[in-house]
Amino acid sequence: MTRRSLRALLLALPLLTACDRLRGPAGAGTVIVSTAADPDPFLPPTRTSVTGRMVSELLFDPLVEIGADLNPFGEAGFVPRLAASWRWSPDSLAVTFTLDPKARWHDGTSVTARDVVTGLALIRDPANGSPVAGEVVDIDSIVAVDARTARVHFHERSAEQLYSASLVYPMPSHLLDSLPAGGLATSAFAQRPVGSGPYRLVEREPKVRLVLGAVEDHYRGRPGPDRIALTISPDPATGIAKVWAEEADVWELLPPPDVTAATAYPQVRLVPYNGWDYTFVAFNFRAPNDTAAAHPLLADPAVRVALTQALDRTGLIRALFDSLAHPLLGPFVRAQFTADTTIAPIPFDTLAPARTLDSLGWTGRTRDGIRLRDGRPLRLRALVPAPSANRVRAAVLVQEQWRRAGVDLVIDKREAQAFGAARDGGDFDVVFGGWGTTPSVRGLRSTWGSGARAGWGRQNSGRYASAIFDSLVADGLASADPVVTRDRIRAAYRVIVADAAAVWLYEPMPVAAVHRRFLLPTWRPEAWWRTLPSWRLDPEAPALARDARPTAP
Amino acid sequence: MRRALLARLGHGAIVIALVVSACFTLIRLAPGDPFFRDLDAARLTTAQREAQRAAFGYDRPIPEQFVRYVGQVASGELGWSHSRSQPVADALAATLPATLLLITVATLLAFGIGVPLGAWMGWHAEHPLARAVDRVAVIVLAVPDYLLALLAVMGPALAWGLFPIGGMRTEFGPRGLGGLLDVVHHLALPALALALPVAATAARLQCAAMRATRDHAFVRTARAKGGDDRLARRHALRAALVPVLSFAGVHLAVAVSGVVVIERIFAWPGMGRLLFEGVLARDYPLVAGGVLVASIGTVLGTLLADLALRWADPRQQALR
Repeated sequence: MTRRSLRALLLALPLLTACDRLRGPAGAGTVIVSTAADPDPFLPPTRTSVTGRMVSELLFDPLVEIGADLNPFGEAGFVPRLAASWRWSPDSLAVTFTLDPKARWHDGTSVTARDVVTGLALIRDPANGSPVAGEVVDIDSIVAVDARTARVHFHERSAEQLYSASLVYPMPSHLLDSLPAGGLATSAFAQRPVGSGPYRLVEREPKVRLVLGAVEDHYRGRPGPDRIALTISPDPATGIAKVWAEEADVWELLPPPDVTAATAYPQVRLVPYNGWDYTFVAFNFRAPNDTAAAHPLLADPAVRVALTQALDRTGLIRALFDSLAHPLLGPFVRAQFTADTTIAPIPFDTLAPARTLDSLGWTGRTRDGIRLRDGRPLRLRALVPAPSANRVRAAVLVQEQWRRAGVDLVIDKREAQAFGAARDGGDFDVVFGGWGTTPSVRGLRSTWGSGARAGWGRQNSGRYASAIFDSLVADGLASADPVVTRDRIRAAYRVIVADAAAVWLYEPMPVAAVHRRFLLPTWRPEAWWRTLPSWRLDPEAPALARDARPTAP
Repeated sequence: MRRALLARLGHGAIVIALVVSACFTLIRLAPGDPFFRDLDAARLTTAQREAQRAAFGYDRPIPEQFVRYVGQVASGELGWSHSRSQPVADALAATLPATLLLITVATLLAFGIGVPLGAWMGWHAEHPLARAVDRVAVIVLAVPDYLLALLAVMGPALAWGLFPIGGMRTEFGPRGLGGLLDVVHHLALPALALALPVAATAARLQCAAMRATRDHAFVRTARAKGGDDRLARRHALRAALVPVLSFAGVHLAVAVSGVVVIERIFAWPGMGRLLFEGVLARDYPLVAGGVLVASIGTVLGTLLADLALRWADPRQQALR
């Protein structure tokens, strides 16, 4: 091969193979979502990741779904899905759903009440390890009254009864009832699921790609885009570059430097939205080596308050995110229905921590300026997850700010599983933790509630325990009046903030990158993919080759 | 010869058994298990975790699990991959061809470029161009492989648009011949990124060996016989190939680890990425199966390199 022909081949390859403008007849478009995470598992009872949730909610419909105002209390905020209507029993301990008669599984079988029962049974099977199991403990049972009627019985009345029912996705009993206990994960169904949602699974290469195709005769109407594909790049830089190069259309969470870089790509539209994740530095209330004993330093509220005062969170957030994060106000995000932006945080103060620590006997100093008491340095070990670049950087900034207050913070950075094991075992003084929230506030029971109540405190790594906080959360959730619920939960927020259970660090404001050829409906911050069926190609914008109507299903 | 070969295969089997046993045990001793969720996801309850561990036999003592695993492997069963929700054999079958393609092309490129270039550099050691190429090779070797790969993504792929960003094929791209070209197009950058450091090493090794060989008596004899310079060079090259062929054997083992970085950055759907993600996910059966296949490949690769070495160097009458 001559040098000239080699050069010609190299230049021709992109033309032969790369993404090009549309030449065939325009379809309804193909949305390629670039992501770093594989969606697996993506069945509603077993999904664990955000990507898994996205795929499961495109493949399967719930009975009802929370509406755009994201109010999880009562029933006003919910919209019908597989259930066309519902009515409450006189004592409010049961709700009866009437299924949409047009609803079908992707194999053509009608959706029945029996499928709702199967949905709960799969969640309740411990061998399936369903993360939803803890969220539906208030459901006593589900009964198939007849083929089209399912009744959900609750143990007790609460503000979020309908929200609980919305977490139970009907699953096809005709395909799953014969499975052995715990057999869902290894079943053929898990690899080729038959759903009830607006998209069906067309193709899947684990950790590489997943393609969904529109269900033409869906009971809610034919969804917009013909296909939705996930392309998985384990390295986020590669995944984002695919959006810049028009190889993909969506990247959900752009890091701040890439938000600036996006201006160089005119086809990219930036979509900022309210986040649902928050990050905090939780104090360990128990001794790291003996969880039965109180922490020698951090059990003292004065020390926790002093450490909180010593942190300039505004400066820290600016250094990490520029303007793309809010200071966190408590264990909630601003997008939640119960958010209280009037809460006054413990303020940054350069003098107060010194006074407090002096009064507690930490008066000596090492040559490095670390405080001493009885010859022992004021040293804390911080558990930090290595995969979270933001938290690693935050830990370094916190380390420096606490050093100025005379506190030696030793950063113990660990990979995800080692971090999880140490966190769950309470092996730390402080932990750089994070939670992904939902519209519901029931998560407070396990994340910050004490273990004194059955089923509470399971994820409360720092073992914060406040009977007042627990009571307020319990009262709030038990009330049937949304206003009372909100007030009680807000009161609980004030208690935990005053207790300085953690340093409430930041609440990122995510920015998504989306190709401009799509006309977008209002972006749903808690689950943006729920509006994917209503995305449309902009007739004014040039379509891409992949937008041509697919030739094969 | 046959006896030596059989002995070598026997040693290889022992090495494979040791490597797989060590990986089988070590990953189970590491914190966590296959049922760990995302960093900030809701955790399993104790009852759920115990039920899941029991369902896959991870609640049994490690020696018992190992005996059961050996029995499974003997019957051709590699287990279930938790992180990919598919049988391990299917996961390996889906990813092994992509890795073999990448390593084969990268190896051919590396030695196809490195050996002739190094031989030329060694034969013309005083040539200014030879010295310049040597400096370039040192620079290539000094750049970490992940940085080289990232530069390839950001430059030729993103900034110049000459190559795709990642993956093995264009989503909803062409089929048939166009599809084949598409794979070649996607393969180019990862193969080059994997090949360049190896080519630089091979060139420098070949250069040094050629310089040492060109003044040997047998090369002078070849010249004295009246043959042209090309004949002498051919004689010298065969002898000078010995260190490069030794390196080639080692390279096969190193390539398996090098491919992890390249596959991750270029989103290449190969076995290196599979193993890396399997370790992070504590996917016990996947890691054991992957290590088994990788170690078999490495043992066979080094055996092939030894055979080539024997061909190149007649002094080696028996396999070492």
